[in-house]
Amino acid sequence: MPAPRTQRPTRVALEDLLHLKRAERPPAEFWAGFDQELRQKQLAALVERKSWWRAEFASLGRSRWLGFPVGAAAILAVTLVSVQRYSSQDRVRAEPRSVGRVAMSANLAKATAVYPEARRSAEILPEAPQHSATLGTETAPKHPNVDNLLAEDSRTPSQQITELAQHVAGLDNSADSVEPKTLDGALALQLASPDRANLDLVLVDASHSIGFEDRSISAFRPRRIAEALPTAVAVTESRRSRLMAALGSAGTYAPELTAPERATRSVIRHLADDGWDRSMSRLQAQADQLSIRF
Amino acid sequence: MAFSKSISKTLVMTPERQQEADSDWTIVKQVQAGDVAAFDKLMLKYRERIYSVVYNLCGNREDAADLTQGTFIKTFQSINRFQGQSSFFTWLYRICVNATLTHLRKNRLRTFFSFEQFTEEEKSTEIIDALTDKSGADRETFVKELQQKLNEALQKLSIKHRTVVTLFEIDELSHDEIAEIMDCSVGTVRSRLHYAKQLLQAELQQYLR
Repeated sequence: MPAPRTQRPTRVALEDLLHLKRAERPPAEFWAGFDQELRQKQLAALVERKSWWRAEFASLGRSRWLGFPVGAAAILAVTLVSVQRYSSQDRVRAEPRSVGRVAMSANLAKATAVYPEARRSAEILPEAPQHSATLGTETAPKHPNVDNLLAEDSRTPSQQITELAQHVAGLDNSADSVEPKTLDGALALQLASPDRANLDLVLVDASHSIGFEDRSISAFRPRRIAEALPTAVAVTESRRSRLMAALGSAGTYAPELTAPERATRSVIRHLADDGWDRSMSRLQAQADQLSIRF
Repeated sequence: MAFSKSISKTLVMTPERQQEADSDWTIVKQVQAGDVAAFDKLMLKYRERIYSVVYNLCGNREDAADLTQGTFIKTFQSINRFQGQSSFFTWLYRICVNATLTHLRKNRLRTFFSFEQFTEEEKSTEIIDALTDKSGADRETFVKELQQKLNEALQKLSIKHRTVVTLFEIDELSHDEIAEIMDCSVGTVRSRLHYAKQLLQAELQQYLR
């Protein structure tokens, strides 16, 4: 039975309460395990081999006079590499800021559709007269009336395009609808009838011009494709069109290849450009198929 | 009867402290000379105090054990850089406090509490007696509840305020020593201590008589 308490403290201060925290101590057994664990960790720390770059980094951190120039050199190197990489990419895309030229083969009959986005882009064309359109052919024979259309330099590019589209539409005997008034924009031509599938067409990829950037003007440069056009130039396939256009601009056009093969090559080349070495090793191109191993 | 602090705080190093610092420096030189076993003496001398500081800052035993071990390992690894410009225990405390503060900042959202066993001594028994008439199991329950309330009140403080309170009130370091450990001025230490006590007083009002 505990002895009766005779003295009772009357006041408890904050310091007394905090003093109670000193009484919170681990039991004696705790320290045996603690020592053992500490010994193991100590040995592990002794054995642990530090990587060389950590040691170098630590030494750089200690010597400030050396750390600053090294850091500045590292930043400069990263900047140079970045600039080089991006400039090389732009070189692939950039083309002379002349004109979008449209060439059509002689048996090209009509343009049956217009990218809706092209209307918007047309609004910027009159504001940039230095990009005057010159419509002509590069390789294929032209329709005689096309020359007349192209000879009128005083007209704006949008007017030229509109008139050309109207002219082409008039040549067509089919019932396909043409909306010449809507062609006052960056030109996007599409062949619709199946019998023209094998025609040699130079496609203008109007989807590039949506952004109103200078770079978009270069997208008017004609690019030759050998694919059946009805499937290549639909609005929903603008991505594919861009891929094909990029293939042409890179100067690796190979008419003997089919479109899927060229697309595959293009994809692989771009992957390689980005330094995706591992992705490269997993990619395999067979005929018109691109497979990725996981 | 009013309780007062048993150890008076000093702003200059006491002769005991000076003597302690000298003996530590001797051991440190042995370790630096290659006598690894000499480090155990330092560890045995300071492990409970270091553990107490970390435990009161973290509020749980597991982190306290890990951080205490980490503190000694780091001290052992860098003991060759110690040149005796300050006392060894100040240097050790600084490593300990920095490691704990880093840990607390990293794991601010992941906090849990586990309490050490409350060891009744003469003074702590007196304080408990002043707070309650209960005995037996009821007294134990009261002590547990008080532990929890104290811990909660401490955890409501900011990390820096908690550190100052822990080092001054629980570990009984002087303002100067705390200022050296926390790398701030003595005035800052006093200001933090004053503010922290005000907050604790408000939190623990029900136990203060």
